[in-house]
Amino acid sequence: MTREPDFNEFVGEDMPAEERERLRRAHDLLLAAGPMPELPPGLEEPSLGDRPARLEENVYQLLPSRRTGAALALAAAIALIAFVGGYTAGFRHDGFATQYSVPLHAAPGLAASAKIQIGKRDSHGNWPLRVEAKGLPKLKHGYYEMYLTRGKHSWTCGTFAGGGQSTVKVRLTVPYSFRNGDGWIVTKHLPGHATPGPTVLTT
Amino acid sequence: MPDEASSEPGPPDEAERSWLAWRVHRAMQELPEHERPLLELAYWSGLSQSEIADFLNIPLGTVKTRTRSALGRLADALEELH
Repeated sequence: MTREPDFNEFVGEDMPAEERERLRRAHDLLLAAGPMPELPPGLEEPSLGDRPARLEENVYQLLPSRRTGAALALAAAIALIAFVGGYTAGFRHDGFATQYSVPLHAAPGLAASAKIQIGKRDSHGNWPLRVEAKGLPKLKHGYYEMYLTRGKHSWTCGTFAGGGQSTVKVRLTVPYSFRNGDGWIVTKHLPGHATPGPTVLTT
Repeated sequence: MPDEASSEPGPPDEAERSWLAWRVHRAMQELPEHERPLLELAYWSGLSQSEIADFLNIPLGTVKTRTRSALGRLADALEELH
């Protein structure tokens, strides 16, 4: 097992209590989040070209050899989490490698729910998403549209039809980074309206 | 035998944890290139501050300064999770 990061070592003792508490919270969130998921090389999606290696990938590859045991222990821990919790790096029989799973909750008055599974970005920069929604009202006209949001800004992720008794399962693809988003919503899009309708699902 | 609530995290807890991880990882990607590796090495590779300094070949003081700064930026980015 790797050593627990020492918060006091990071921030020292000469810090106002309020700022210390703020950094402490970030420290706790980092510990709770754990490392970014990386798929085993054998499960990587095929690449059509060489892409620049990300910095963190370089960092892990260059770890000192005496850390090998710790790295193996960390890998084992991640594998255990993935097995027990169905958390990350899931690789399904249909080839969709789930890295994150994000729940969506119904707007007031609706008994719907959904989850968005985020796959691994391909070499062109496309992020695959898989959306499973249940309990959405079936629309006689129009369709649903999903957006990535940040504050009052939103970016469409795609549209889908369906609803009613059955669970809607659709795949969407977006070409932009999620790093600027802070949530997702699904809205109704009704015919004859240029703007999205009411929100039915939200993070 | 009476039913007892399991202490194991259920699906909602797992979903919440996955969502939190997503937010933290996105916030990490927003950190400057000279700060992010320090947190990755400290939190996810288990290196001490002096080991990070040695590994990255930068002064220990720089490691401490950048780590503090990175934690501060992360705290700002994740403020709504507080």
